[in-house]
Amino acid sequence: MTSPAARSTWVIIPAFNEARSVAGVVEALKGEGYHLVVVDDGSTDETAQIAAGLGVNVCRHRVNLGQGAAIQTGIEWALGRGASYFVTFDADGQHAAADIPELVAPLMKGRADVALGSRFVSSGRAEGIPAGRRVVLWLAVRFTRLSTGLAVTDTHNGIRALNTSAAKSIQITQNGMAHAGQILRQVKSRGLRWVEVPVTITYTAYSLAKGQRLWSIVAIIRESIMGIFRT
Amino acid sequence: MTPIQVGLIVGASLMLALYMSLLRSAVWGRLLALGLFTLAVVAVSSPGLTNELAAILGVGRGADLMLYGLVVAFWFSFIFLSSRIVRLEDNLTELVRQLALRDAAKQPDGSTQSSSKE
Repeated sequence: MTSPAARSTWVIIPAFNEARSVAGVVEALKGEGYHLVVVDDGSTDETAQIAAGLGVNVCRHRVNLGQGAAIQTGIEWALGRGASYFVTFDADGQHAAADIPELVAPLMKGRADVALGSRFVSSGRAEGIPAGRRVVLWLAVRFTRLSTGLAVTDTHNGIRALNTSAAKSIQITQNGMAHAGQILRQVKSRGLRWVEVPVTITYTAYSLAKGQRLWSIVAIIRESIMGIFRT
Repeated sequence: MTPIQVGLIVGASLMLALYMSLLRSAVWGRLLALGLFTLAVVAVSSPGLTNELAAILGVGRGADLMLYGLVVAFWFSFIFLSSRIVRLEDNLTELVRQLALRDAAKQPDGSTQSSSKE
């Protein structure tokens, strides 16, 4: 990626109690020259202090709201700073900084408004994914494809890129893990052009321990239903 | 008086006492609470009354009428409370977000010194 493109790209890193991994993630991204904003979602550990100590922007939620809320806050921060491209990137080390240029390229060429990272398309990889997790993911993908009407292959992948019009158009009101499905629904309903880009997700013992549990699926369904009561 | 009648009246009395002790506002809340309490005691003390009311409405028993009323009241309050909760969460989110953005913008390099205790 050439310097000017990196300079207009903001990487948004939502983080909740990721003191162990955030430094590594931030250093890798800083090395590539992107603008960074860590959104500390009410962590009770030193995530925010560590990030601030590395000299990157830190927005801090005083209370924990959820990853969806953290992403929305990061988007609004980056919009305020004139970002052209917005990349969401997890703080637990599962995502690869090297995937970002491929995600932003279609946006820069004007071929899409949203680039979705996928483990399951062409050269996408899910390294070290346990079999049980793969099954749960497959089910989640099938369900989300049905409920959003989008033929995506990887619905709960935290790495994605948006251009400015997509960033302004999308309004994440689902604070928790249901935000992923909401983003897809809005991509469809707001007529945003989307592409899928192969990315590599690396599962480590650390990130697996924090991963989605079966119980989370129930929570996502419940949160999605609660959205009905928004007046 | 059957045991269940005694039990229900005791329960209603406890709820009234608790509500009255917690209530801060003036007359109307207390009047409403007393009114509801009286209705409850009347309905429990003379089950024949609820049976008559049920018959008028085409329901077999007073207890069934109470149940149907309860189901309707439940769904009304569920929908109402859910809407309130969602609105509260939206407001909370907006406040927390604006605070986070404002704090971050204040720092010279855009980062925020986080204080661990508020």
